[in-house]
Amino acid sequence: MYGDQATALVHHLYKSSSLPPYKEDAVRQVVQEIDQLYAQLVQLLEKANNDLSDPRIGGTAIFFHRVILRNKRCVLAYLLHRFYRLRDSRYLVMDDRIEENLSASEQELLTNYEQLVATYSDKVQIDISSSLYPPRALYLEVKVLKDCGTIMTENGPVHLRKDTLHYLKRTDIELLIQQGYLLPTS
Amino acid sequence: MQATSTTDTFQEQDINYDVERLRKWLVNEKCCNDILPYQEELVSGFADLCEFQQSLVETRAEKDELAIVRNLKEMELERIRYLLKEYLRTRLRKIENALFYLWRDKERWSWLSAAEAEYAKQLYPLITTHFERSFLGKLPEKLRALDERDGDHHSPGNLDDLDEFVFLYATKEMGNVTTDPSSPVTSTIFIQKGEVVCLRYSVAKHYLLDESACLL
Repeated sequence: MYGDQATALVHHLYKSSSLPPYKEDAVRQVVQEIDQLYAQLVQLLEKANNDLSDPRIGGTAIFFHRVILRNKRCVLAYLLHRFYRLRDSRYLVMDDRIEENLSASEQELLTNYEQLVATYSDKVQIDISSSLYPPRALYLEVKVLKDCGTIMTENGPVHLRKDTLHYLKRTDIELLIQQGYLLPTS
Repeated sequence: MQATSTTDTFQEQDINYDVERLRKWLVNEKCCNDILPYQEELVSGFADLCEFQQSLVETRAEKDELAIVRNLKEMELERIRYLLKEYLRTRLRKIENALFYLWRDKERWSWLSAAEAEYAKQLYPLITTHFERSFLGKLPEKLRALDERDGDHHSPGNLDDLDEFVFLYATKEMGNVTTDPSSPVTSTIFIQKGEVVCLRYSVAKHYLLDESACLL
């Protein structure tokens, strides 16, 4: 039935809590359906010389037009909500698998978006990508999940080797926690 | 932290009054769908104060200040920074969510800061280009417009219901308030300081702007 593919696309995103893989095939099928409906609509209008006074012709034309608009709106909603989820995932611990689920266009959008946020932070001179949660303590106990070399802290350099525990200042390691290198244990 | 401006003499004497104001504006932003006016004075004042306090903490550290005192000061500084950043983040998120609406309604832009307006101006082409690359560019030329209205005359990307019910806390006496101006039957309630009421946002908005109430 007309519109099923587009509805399934939105439903697919609605049902998953994270960012599911981009459904390129489904988007392509919706585009094909729109192309087909548009061709039928043009053909109908040409046949009727753009005279829609006959309710059978007018009704059919409106039906085609509404299905086209509905399909278009569903795909745009799908793309926009994927962008919202992508944006929200920046503030969580970044999962490598999320990048695998993006289309090429989304990857480009994410890169440009991160640049835009960085430009905004520069302009207001406040880094809005840090301090994501209300601070409960100045220092945190963390477990190193992946080797991340040596970092500089105000008490000197600290070597973060995999599977070691450290008690460090939150502001020094916040980015590493966000990137999934460290796991807070306290 | 020093207070900058207030109408309440007692509150002016409270050195943490501006922190409380910032917290209230953050909660107001989080609790309504509308984008409220940007608190330029509050944000820039706090950004400067945070920098000043940071330099003070570092200077005192060199003078062998007690570690516990220094930690408390740093912790307080972190908390205020969090409030400030969360306020900016919340506003950006709302701008992103209402981007297409803002694009059509330029009057709303006066409530954004210069940096936020610039942010919205640059984000719009990023998202529309993404739409074109992924979908719109593949459609027949006449169907490529983004702001095409559907049969119910709704344009995509409207702000959510601005007339939703919100919980309001009266920080001052609000007097007689008409609960539903659109209704043919006039119904008013007298709201005293400290009372919590549930009102439509369109009614509450006026009191939020003059800071005689805040959202919960």
